[in-house]
Amino acid sequence: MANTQGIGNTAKQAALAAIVNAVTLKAALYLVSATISAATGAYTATGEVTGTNYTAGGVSVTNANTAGLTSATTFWTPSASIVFTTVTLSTAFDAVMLYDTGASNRNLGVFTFGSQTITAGTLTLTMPTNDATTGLIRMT
Amino acid sequence: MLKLDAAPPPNSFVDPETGKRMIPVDLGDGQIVVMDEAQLYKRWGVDEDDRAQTHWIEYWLEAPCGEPDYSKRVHRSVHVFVKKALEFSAEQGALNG
Repeated sequence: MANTQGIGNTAKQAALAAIVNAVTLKAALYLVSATISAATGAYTATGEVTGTNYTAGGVSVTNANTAGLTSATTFWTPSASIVFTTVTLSTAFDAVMLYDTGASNRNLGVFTFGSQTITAGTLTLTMPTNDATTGLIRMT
Repeated sequence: MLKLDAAPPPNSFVDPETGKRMIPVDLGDGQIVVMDEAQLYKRWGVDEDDRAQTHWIEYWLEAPCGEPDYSKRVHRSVHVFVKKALEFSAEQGALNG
């Protein structure tokens, strides 16, 4: 059997763990007109939604999961849905940023979806199954 | 795509005294109050793309003639099921690279 080079799977898991395990995350919503992306280094109020019962900075993210590893893929997903309860957000938005409040609000990831508005309603963002196939953040 | 049925908005509730489902509404003044669901016109549906499947439910004020007054949407709740993950890969350079 020949030797095979490659970055250690457990090293990849440790790399992902360093940015997701036991960190305090929040989720902020952004207007369709905003320009946040992977290049946005940290949470910003620029382009963030405003409205009734929405607090700048967004809501806390439940993070009871740690970076998992299946075969050569390490993965992580928030452990509960992200919920904005009884808000009115009249200007269309289409993105949510997850950011680490304990690391200078570092941008963990930006996720986009179809343009939405909310009127006296609840916005629920349900996460995919936390595994190597569908986990929200995956490193291969 | 319109669905055949929809769950009530998660922030609605049944009034224990009347048994009526009450819907939080914003009549346009930024204040959130509740109205009897029976007084409102309901629409709901599902949208889907490669990023997410989105279930939505709306309530509109009903005009006197029975037709919904589409200029007055007073409630909209949305449930987004995220499908698209963020992926990145670890690359290893060659020793003589």
